[in-house]
Amino acid sequence: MKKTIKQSISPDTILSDLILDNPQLLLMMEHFGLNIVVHKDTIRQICEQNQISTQLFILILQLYLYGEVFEKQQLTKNDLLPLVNFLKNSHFYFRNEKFPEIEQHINKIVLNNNTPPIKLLKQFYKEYLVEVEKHLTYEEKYVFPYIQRWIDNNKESNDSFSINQYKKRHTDIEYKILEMKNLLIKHIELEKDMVGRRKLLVSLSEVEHDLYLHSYVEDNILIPLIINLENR
Amino acid sequence: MRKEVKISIAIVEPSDIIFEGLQLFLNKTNKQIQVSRFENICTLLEIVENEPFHILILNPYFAQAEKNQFHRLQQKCSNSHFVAIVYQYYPKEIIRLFDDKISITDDFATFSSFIHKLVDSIANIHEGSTAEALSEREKEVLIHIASGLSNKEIADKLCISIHTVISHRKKITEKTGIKSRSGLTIYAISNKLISIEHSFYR
Repeated sequence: MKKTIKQSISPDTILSDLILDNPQLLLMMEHFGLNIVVHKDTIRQICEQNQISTQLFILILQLYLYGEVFEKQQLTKNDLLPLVNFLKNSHFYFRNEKFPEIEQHINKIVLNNNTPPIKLLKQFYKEYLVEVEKHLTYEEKYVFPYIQRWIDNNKESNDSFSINQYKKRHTDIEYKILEMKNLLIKHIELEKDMVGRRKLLVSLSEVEHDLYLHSYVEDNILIPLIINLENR
Repeated sequence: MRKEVKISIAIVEPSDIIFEGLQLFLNKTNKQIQVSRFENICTLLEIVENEPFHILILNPYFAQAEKNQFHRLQQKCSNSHFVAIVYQYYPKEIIRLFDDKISITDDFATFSSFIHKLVDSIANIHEGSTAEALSEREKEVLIHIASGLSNKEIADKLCISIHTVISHRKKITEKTGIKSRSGLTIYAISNKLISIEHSFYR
């Protein structure tokens, strides 16, 4: 995979060039709810058409390119809506695409290898799904509505929820994916279906990476922004 | 995550041409190597205690002319691999003081395969001591975890404190990359430390 050398990305950068070189941006576009066909539009044009600030867009773009962001963020309340939509869309991606895909891979491997470790891995994954579902539901039930109240200017000063509760509760949900990868790469011997194992590992790595980026957005972009608003 | 061991090499060689040539060849092997040069054994001895090297490449001259210093170096660096860089005749008993030798007439292929073997064997030793390979006690703790016992129950069973159980668990996680009880159980079953019937998954 070709990777763009670290370059300065400005609002005048043409987005299609970046996407061509960095296919991981396709997922970012999807999470933003943007059309992939971006013609020769600049970042500024795309952001204007979709009511996303260039600051937020470039911030997340850099995150998808480099795995972290260093610049000081200058986000405002207007960034909350696209941010929440981004997070909701990624929940959809995990739940409706990635998690079932991983389950299918595991089921197929279990069919071909009826050994205890791989059967246990299936159970391990089921338990993980219950855990991760709790995590996603919590955000949907408490965190997103809270942010929606900020967006709608509907937040009471005595709101029963504060972002600090979320900050404390926010747990690492990609760790068990790494455990599964460790087990599959180092310990679980398979007799058949090595292709299935490879596909499973690729899917696990993809979901692990996007879960990491998802948590990064929440911990390092969303939470600081809300704290900033709460303290005002 | 697995860290690649960076191999450190000290070269004690008075000739610039030989040193530069050695360094060039070492770079060309594409191994993770850090090279330092020393004028003589004395300067190497000064720092070797704080900064041990995996490999020492020396001109055998030093073993012959500075016997005592060389002997001290061998004592201080008992874990290092001593390699002679030979470009003139030395008596066998001098060359025998080294673990290996490279000759100035070696071509790059010979040199490179020698360095690769050496570096890999050193890297293996280092990984073996840090990664994987659970100690017997850690295996015992792991088996109890996999059979569903709590930290307190494990502590009672092995007559150790809960604190010690927790520190064993930490070590096991460091070595295997697996933290959860379910994950560790799969590890234990895959490595045949426990059967599924005896695990908490039964």
